[in-house]
Amino acid sequence: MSSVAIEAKNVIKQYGSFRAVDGLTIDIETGGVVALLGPNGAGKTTFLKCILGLIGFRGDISVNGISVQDHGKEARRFVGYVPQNPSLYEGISVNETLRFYADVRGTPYGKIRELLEFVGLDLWGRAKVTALSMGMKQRLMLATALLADPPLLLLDEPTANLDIRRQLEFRSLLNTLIGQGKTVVFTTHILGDVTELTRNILVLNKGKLIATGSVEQLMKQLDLNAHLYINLEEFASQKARDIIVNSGGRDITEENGWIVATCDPEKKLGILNSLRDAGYKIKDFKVEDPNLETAFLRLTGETNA
Amino acid sequence: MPSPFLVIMKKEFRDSLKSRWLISFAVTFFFLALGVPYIILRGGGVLPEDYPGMVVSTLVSLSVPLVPLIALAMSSTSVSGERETGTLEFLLAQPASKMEVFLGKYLGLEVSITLAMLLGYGTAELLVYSSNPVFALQFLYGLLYSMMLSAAAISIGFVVSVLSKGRVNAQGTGIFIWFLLVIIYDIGFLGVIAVVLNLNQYLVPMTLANPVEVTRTLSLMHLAKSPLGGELGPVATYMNRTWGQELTITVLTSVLSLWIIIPLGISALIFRKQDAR
Repeated sequence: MSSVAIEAKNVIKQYGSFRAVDGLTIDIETGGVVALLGPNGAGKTTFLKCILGLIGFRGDISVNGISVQDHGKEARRFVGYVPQNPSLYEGISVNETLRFYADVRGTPYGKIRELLEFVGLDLWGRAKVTALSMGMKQRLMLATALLADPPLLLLDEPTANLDIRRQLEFRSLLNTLIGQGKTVVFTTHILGDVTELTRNILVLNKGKLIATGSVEQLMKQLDLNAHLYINLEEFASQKARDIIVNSGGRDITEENGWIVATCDPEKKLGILNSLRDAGYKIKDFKVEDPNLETAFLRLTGETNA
Repeated sequence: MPSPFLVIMKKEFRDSLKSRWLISFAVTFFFLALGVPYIILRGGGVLPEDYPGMVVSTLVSLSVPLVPLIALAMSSTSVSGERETGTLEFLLAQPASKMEVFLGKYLGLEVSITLAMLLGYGTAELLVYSSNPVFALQFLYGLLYSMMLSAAAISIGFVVSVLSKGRVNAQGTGIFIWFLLVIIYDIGFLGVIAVVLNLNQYLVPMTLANPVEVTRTLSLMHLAKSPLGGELGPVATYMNRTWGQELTITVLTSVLSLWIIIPLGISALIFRKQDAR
């Protein structure tokens, strides 16, 4: 197997005069986990569709060394895809869905039961797809993508339509797959997806790659900080403020009895622990983390400027 | 390991069985071939011996318009419907080529509609027409041409389907094409224009330009050739006189085959070039 799972060279996808993907050159290593981030219309989904050969494009993309343009069918054997919206045949059952796609991929049915258990749908095999909730459909899509045990997974906003609990469940499934050594490329708008799954982020805007790095690196690069609100039982003395500063807090102010400190996102817990270790009783605290939207605005604002 | 083409074809066929449209069309074809008078006359015990000969020409004029209606309605939504729900994109994201997906869908539908016709017409053939070899042969010709017409209509429907943005749009266009091919031609609208404007030389090309008219003319020519006899229209009479009966039948059969192949080729090319949306 090639050490590079996806090799994209100068990929351009144009709709009329609009360039959805504008000269992307990206290498994704085998076993890597990459989050594609960016505002709506940045070209994330279009790029995933280029990798699958679903849409025509200029440039070159190869999957495991196989050209997508020349041998799309062969290249797709290495890929499992989960689109943003579950696209399943509604009139058939969960088992029938998996059997159909197993047939299309030329995979025996033996793995179906195991996959249903993995995604938590083992009791739903006979249920019609229409009877499934959105979260279940998303998990069925994942099971379908895993039928042939492909080494590469492309996931387009896999948790976008799920509530918080389902998001956590889905992330846990993905973490298991990442642990198995699969290469995972996913798009998302949800910070939790990124922080839990990868430190390897590619930020796209207007079809171009505008930043790379981990969440922390990007936040630092953009000077985006967390705000920590702490409510102590006693008066916020200078000593308490010094502890906060020594633990990584800065720009300390007081608002309606709350101490407000600016800090790097990863320093929050350290500040709280230091206060507690120094004998301060924390009545309450709130965290205002920087979000991806703010990061996108900052990044795209800088790029556009 | 079955190819994705066979898997998709099988699914199309299974879906048609599940949705029960195949059965309802088979029943429709059966009653169409049998003729409603058959049931009444048979029930009253007054069924004439030459009943099949009496209705076989009526069968042509009833069956020929119905077959493309069913085929166009089903085929025009085949690709567009799946595109709308996103299942087409997901299917194309699998290790299957565009042509495997396209041909699987085309042939799955073709087999389903052919089976509905075979079931409906075939049962009627066994019940009524098999009693006399002349009736049976004419009926079989009718069945063969109906099958070719349905293939041509499916091909045209696929052009509509790959070009349409949504299911409703595709179905509307499909029905409009049926209206154009069947109703407009059938009421002699274009024939009247050709006669009034003294453009008789265009009547043959106009017939060949419509697979429904080609099928109707073919069926009537076979009927007229048989001991059952039958009246030919002005176009068929003109063709007969100009080319002779055998050549006319060959030309019409070839043109009907082209009506299957050319739209199928066009739709396949478009589909291959299109982005999966």
